[in-house]
Amino acid sequence: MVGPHGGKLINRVLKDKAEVLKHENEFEFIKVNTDVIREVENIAFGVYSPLEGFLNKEDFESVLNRKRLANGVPWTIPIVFDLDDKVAEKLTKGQKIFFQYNNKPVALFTIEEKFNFSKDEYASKIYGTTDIKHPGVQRVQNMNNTLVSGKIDLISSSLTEFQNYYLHPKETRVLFKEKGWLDIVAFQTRNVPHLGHEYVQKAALTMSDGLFINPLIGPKKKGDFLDKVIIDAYKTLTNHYYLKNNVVMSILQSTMHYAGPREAIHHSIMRKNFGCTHFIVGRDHAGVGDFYHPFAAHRIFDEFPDLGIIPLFFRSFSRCTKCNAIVNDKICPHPQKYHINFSGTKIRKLLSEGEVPPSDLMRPEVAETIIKEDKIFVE
Amino acid sequence: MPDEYNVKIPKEVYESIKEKLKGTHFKDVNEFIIQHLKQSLKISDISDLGEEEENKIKQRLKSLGYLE
Repeated sequence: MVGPHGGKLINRVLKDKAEVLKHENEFEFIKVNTDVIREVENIAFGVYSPLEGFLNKEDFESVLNRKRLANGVPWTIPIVFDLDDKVAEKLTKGQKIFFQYNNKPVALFTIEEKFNFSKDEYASKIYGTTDIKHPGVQRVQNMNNTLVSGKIDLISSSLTEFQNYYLHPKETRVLFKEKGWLDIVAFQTRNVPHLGHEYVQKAALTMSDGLFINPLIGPKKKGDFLDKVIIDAYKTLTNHYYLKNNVVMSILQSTMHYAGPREAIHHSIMRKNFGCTHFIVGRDHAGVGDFYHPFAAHRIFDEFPDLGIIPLFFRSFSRCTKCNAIVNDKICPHPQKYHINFSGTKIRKLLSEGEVPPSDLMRPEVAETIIKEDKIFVE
Repeated sequence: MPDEYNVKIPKEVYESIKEKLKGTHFKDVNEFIIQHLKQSLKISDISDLGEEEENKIKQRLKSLGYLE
């Protein structure tokens, strides 16, 4: 099986919780939100291996400027903890604080360093723009001015929603080993599946032992499909149209950054830590609006011969009425007029009106599952 | 048995790997070749999970329906 990124699968889950909780009246508490908890759990469970905590200044600057940690290991998205200046000013190096969530201490944070950063530089290097219309830029501009680095020790997991689909890297690695899979292809998604997605997944699966469908669960934009809808839709699809022994679905609790090419690398690294050998990268992967070239997320992989996971690039695909099949621009000789695109907008409109899209766009069972839900979209 | 062996590769291959590794995290060509061979020959890295923990994980995977 592929080794974890950076050589070691990180486990920062405390074994002796009672020992740490003895200090409940001694250490300070900082209230954190669900976004921070997601990052904390990803660090603790090894999804972000080799990170053991939030980035320090040297690593942060190296990620911005070189797309690598200071030791040279590929890393493209800063995993940072920002804090209000007045709160940060009181913290000192080596100090231990509790992260508080739902009124209880959930993690121990050992302060390493505090530093300021330029939001414009962050935005322009990570997102390639400082345009406030970009959701990632908006997020950065709303951050506090001080970043605090340090190691994390998880006391208890708080992400209880979809618990039955929440597998950690050490669990998926045991699962893949038990299934006897060697070549494992990961598919990242934040949408309900249509036939185009199924085509890409099955094309990749044909050349590997197993498919790991890994929907991203986390904050979404208004109008996006609800997490539950995505999970239920995939459950229906895999039950009806996949061989049970060749596919696994579990969720990834993470924030979508819309960082296009840099995020494609980040998505690959996380799946490598889950034990995957291959990662599907589509057209305009992790893009938003027209901020990135449609194939920028393919080209960036040339900069990382040492990534340790193999990207599988897919260009655009559509249904060709002449071939009577799902095709891509490498395999179909017919002109555009014969091609019907998998229009997300069209599928979304039909589903929102309670209608089942045509079966050459979406499996009827999947559509039925979606329209049966009380609510489909984020409001 | 020794812990390590020397393997010879042609100079041109060595030079072109070295060139490709500029700016990456590999310390040297040896490190890259070892990772690459492990990956292409599917040689497993030894899991550092103990037997007890691995069994616990298998139990959870079974209870969730991931394993039979």
